[in-house]
Amino acid sequence: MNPDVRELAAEYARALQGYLAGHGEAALQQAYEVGRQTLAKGLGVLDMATVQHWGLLRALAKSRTPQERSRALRAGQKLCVESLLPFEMAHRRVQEVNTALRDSEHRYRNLVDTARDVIYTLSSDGRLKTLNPVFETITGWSRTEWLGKAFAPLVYPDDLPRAAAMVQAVLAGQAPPMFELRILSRSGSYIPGEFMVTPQIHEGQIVGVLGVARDITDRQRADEALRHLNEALEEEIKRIAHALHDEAGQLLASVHIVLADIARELPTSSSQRLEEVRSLLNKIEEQLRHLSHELRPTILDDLGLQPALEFLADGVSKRTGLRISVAGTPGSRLPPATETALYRIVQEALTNVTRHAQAAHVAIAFSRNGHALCCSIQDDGAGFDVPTTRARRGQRGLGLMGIQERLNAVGGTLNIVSEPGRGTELLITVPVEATSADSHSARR
Amino acid sequence: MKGALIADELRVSIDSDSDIVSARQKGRELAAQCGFPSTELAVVATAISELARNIVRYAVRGEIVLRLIDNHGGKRGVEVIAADDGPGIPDLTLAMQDGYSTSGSLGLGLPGVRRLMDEFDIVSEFGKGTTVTVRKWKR
Repeated sequence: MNPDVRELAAEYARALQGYLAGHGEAALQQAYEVGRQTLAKGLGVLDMATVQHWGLLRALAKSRTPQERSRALRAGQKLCVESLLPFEMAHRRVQEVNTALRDSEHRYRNLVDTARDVIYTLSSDGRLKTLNPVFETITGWSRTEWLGKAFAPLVYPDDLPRAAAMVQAVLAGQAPPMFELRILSRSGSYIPGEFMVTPQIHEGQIVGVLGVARDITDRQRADEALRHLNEALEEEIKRIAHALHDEAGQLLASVHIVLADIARELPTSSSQRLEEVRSLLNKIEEQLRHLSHELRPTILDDLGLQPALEFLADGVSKRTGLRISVAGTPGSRLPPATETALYRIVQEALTNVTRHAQAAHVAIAFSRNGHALCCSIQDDGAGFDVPTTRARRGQRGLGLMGIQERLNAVGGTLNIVSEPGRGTELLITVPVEATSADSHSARR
Repeated sequence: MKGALIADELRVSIDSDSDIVSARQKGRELAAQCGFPSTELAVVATAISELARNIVRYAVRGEIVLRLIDNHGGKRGVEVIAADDGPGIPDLTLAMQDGYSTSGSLGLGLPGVRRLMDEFDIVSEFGKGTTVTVRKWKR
């Protein structure tokens, strides 16, 4: 017999003897404590039964008459219940834990079964272990066609090295950032997916990969639509700029010719006043030319971002009295989409400053940092609470949203530093030395 | 479920392990008056054991109050109140989890008492003591 069990049995026998000797509740408590100790030593119900059996045999051996034996049996039954109660508590705990576990399992199952993202697990050799139902909805494949098979044939061949690298990283215990893969659908087309993968751990060991994949077809379409929209907008702006500059300019030229004719037929005193009209017309022409250039500066296409921004700054300064400085240089010519985006962003930022900031000075500064071009637009105006304004879909919020969307289209980022009373700084970073199309698909 | 007192309450001050035995005995006798079967009497005694053990271990001294109660619908039961003015429990949610103490990790202690009894209520103020009220109704 296990020495622990032997010791507990001796204690239990003493409790039973004590009960028979009239110790009552103290003996019952003693039996309860034996049960408690049996449990605490990690022994089981069968060990408890051995302890009880052994104690009862001892008591029966000491009983001389049938009456004494029947008393011993009744006492044994009472102490048996007492010593089992700790096990009853432990049993109820297990039941409660099991119920909670079942509920938790049920909730988890529900979540996985109704999720709109594909949730899957891979074994360490790259086989699909689990797939949730939405996999079928998105890809058209039946899950049974893929469960137990290698995931590789599901991935667009060019994306496979990246997929393999991510699996290796996870199996090595790293948490790689989000990445994109194109996934083969049953119809043969590829679906763009955004992936998040983490290690799957069993008893402290990494046994596979747990992945969540989102179908980003709609998002890519929306980005695409936005790019088209911006391109269409640029075309429309070009048309309006042309109408302002060329067509209105021609009309003004005709007015000048007519005025010259009239001047010849008028006395000198009146032609003096006509001269004033001519001078006003010249100013209008000048303004129209300037507006048309700001709308779509030919400078931007011909000479690049910096001269175009200096021209823009000059025009805004003249109209509003705001002092604007442009420092640093964006460097060599950038892809047209990036140049246009940056020009529009600075234009939008300056509109925001004149409308809301009550600033005296705006500093625009460029710096190159490897593959990134940084542009800072800083004013000394009223400032604002960034989260509140970004969440608002009003005029100001829309302006910032427009900036953000233009940056999305060229793979750039926007950082806003502002506080009420402390001015505002927009920090813009765009990747350079890549065409806008490349930088878009490289975005993760 | 609030119970109405239907007999004089019994008070046992808890100071040492021997007081645990007398609290158990009085609780068992009181519950027997309700007509609980003997296994349920053992359950009540067990709850008293665990509550009194906590008082001796964590608060040094306290009191166990035993009452027969009625739910106004003819249902009878026994109420056990374990009160001490010991250090109190800083985090009750934590204390009611099974892993909080050694006995808790086995399913004993306060979580075990909660599972044995029909009703369980605990009030504790850090630095001012703890009161646990449990009830068992006769089926």
